[in-house]
Amino acid sequence: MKNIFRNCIYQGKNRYRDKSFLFWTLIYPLIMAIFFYTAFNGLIDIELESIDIGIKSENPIGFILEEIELLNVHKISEDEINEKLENEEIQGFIDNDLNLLVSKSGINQTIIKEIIDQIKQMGELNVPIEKFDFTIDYVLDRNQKADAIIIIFYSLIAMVSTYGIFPGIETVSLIQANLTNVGKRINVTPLKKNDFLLAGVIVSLILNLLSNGILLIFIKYILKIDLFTEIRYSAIFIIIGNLFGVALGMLIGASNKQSGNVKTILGIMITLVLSFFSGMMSPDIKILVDKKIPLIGKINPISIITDNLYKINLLENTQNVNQGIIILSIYCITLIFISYGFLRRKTYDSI
Amino acid sequence: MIVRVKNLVKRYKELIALDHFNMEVEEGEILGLLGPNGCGKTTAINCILSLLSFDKGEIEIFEKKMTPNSYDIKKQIGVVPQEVSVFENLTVRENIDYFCGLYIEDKSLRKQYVEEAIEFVGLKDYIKFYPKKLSGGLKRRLNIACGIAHKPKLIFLDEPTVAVDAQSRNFILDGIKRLNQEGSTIIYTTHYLEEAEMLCKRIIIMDNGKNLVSGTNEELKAMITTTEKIVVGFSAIEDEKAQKIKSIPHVIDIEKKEDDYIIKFENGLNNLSNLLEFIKENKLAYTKLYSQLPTLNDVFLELTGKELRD
Amino acid sequence: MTVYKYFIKIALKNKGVILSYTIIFFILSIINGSTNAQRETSFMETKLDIGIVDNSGSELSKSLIEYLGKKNNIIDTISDEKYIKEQIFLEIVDAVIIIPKDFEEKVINKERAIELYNDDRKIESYQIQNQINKFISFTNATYEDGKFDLSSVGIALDEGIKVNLLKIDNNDVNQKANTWFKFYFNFTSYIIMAIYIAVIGFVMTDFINKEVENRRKISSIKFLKFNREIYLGQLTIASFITLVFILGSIVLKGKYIGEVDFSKYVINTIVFSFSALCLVFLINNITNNKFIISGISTVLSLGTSFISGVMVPQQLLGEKVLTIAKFFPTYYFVKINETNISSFLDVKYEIFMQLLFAMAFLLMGLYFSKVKQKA
Repeated sequence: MKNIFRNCIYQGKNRYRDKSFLFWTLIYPLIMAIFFYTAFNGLIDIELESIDIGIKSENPIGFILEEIELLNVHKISEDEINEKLENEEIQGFIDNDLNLLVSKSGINQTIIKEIIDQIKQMGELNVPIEKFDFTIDYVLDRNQKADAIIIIFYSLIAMVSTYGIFPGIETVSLIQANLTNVGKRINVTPLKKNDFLLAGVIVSLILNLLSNGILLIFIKYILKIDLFTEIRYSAIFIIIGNLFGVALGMLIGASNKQSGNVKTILGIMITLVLSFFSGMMSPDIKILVDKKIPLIGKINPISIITDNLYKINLLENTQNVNQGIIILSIYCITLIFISYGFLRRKTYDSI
Repeated sequence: MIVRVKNLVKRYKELIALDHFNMEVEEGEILGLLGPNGCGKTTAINCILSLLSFDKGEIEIFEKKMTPNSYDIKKQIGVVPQEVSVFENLTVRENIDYFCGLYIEDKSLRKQYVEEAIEFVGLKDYIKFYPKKLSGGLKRRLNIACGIAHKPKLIFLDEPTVAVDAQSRNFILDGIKRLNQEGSTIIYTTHYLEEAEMLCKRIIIMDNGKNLVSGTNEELKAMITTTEKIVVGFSAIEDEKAQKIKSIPHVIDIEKKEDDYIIKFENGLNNLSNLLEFIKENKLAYTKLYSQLPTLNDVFLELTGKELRD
Repeated sequence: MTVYKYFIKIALKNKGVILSYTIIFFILSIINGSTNAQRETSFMETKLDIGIVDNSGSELSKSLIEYLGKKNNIIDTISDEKYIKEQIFLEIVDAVIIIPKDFEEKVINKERAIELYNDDRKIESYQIQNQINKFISFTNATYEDGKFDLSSVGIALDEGIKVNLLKIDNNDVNQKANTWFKFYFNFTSYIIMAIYIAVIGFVMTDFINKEVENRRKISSIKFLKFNREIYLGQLTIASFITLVFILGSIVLKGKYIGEVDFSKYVINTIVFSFSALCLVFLINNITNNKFIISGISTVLSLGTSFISGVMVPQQLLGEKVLTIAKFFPTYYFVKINETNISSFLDVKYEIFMQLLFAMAFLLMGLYFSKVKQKA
């Protein structure tokens, strides 16, 4: 026990004094958070965009169209029509006979069509015009705060929670005689390998959780974005993300003889790709991936963490969290098992 | 017998790194493992320390079989590996304390040992430095301190003086002698024959993974036929006459190196005066003339037909 | 040409970095491009995916469902709020409507008769809301003697206006394909910058590495010749990488290059690659620490992509963000991709700005290398 504690202290010191460790686990997430914040800040409060339509000034329903909040009416002349449509300055042009001209199919064009449809349909119904009452809204909005933007922050937190990869890689390297000189030296001392590894895992988890904490504090108090309403389950997912990271790091570290630099880049690349698919760079990519290859979202650990953080905190839904926890646990156990397979060998064929 | 290695065989695919290597180390001695680069010295040490797997052979340390789990054996061993093997982000003192702590649990005793080790390698002024700030020689000293701070009974030193400046080198060699005087048995690998000659009581010469010979310095030199070499620089001599030198008693060979003749003698008396007499008789003039006693290099040369240093 | 050969050899050792970026990029492009990019020949209404829970089971509710079914795809759902919200979050449905038991009564009383779950930030939510309100307003308009005239409503709502698709001759841009090319090339800027900085930066650290530097100083190769071969090496690697991505677009969507302004994309990408290469030159003259370079590579490529409209369209970004973005060539690169041009004169300013940045990076790089030499 005493031995493990001493190893924790020294491994911890060796870790936090490492500049590249500090950068990737502490500074880099903060930089990313600032990027997201600046890039998406304008987006967070955005209202529905209005749809630009073109009419000629003498259009008979021009005054009705201008009443509709969603539409942005441009009065244009005959020769401008094609050019404006092509450049997407207007989404559709309505001629004086209520025919619609569009340059492509899409949701905006469909909406324009339905609005104009309605005018025609009203005439078709054969009831006096005063019977129509469009001032009433029959719809009770049960909108959720579906927020595509905030998912980016959950995704960032999910990614950073797996940054235990870096100390994981390092811990394994330091105990493997065929990887580092320190590894050789430690292997000839009476220190048990498992003690060193256990200390390494503890240190990795503590340091990475600390850096996660700093990021969360930064997001909450400096950027002033509230992400968490359900602390308990959120914490479980962040911790399990940490475990996953450390385990993955151990596997990357133990499974090959590449240099530390290459392994670190490998770690960055893996997390970046997984985060990418979980929607970190752009929510559209997540939507795209979920639609085209839904399996990716189901098995991508960072997606699992992201989706669950979102569900738990924004949708206040803790129904299916166990499924996520179980999948992640299976990942962790598998990774640790495989890494242990690489690590348990006591002598090496070559150094 | 502190260490006993019997018929050790280690193969790397095609290459045979150790070919029935044998070694025995007595308590209290400094054993030199001498051989050219790539002859298998480090491989042998790594096998003995259970870092490397091997194909055949037996290894005993302190009369017990050495395995990766022999923690009781490891407790009494100190190792100074060939490369500087320390934590980059721990200071000199922290590094020594860390490694010493893997052996010595008692806090106050450890503190004392760490201080002594720092003193011993002369790094007192550098205890707060990080390894990368140290010069090559100082790094080596730190490397040694980390291996010996716990005062082990048996110390393995693997080429501790490679790429070290002359000052640090002498410091290190003196230190090794002191360690031995304080009671540690030392196994020392090197490809510098001067170091082995100067330091070691007994030497094993290896080549191509085999032990060629072993013995004390004198024993080794006695093994070879050439016991004396006399180098003469003649001012002028015809080849015919030079060939006649061979008729001098005990001469086994002559070799022309640039303008000098190296005359090799086997064990015998009055070699130098016999040669001088020959010079007088033939009215030869010489610019220089000196006698050389055999070195370990000669031993190696005669055994393998190649020079020790390349 | 020994230096040149050596340079290429070391560069290819970093194939892991090149490959991983390239593979992700192409996977993404393939996923994105799997939708049909055929030129449209007629207008198609967009159908939404909606879920309906009918607790009323009345004639009125049935005809509402029938109407919505014509306009949309109906997806199975259950009457559980959490489940519905999750479906919307996961984008399985665009909206879910719940028809209450007392639906008819509420309609007649002109109360809020339908519960609607959707994402009100999306324009789709307007459409579904509009459809529901239209249907109910129409049926209410026919309400007489306690009865609705549902069949008339049905007939009226089947009516619609004529929609014409803008006539296109073959020289015009195929919008669908163009959207793909925009996405593809915008993203290329991110990948190009990341790979350039990482790969060329790494190789240069090996070259500027002290030991190599010293060996070079004493070697017979003249400084100028050495530099010339190095830059030739950089140019080769850079051209190779850029070429891969340009060729990639041809492999993936080759049959559409005639229907978009392909030359615009190619020339723009080449200009951008050049300014990115100059940026790499600047970075290499500032640092030769591998760890800093991998940091810069990730942060700079991601950062500029974010603020310049690669990840999110430029029009959605804030004014201030765009102001910062204007200090990087990526902004102008994306701007050109987003513009439909009739000739290159339309984007001469943006091309000029990219070249200007290239010059600025070069000059700053030269300045730093002078400073270094003096030190």
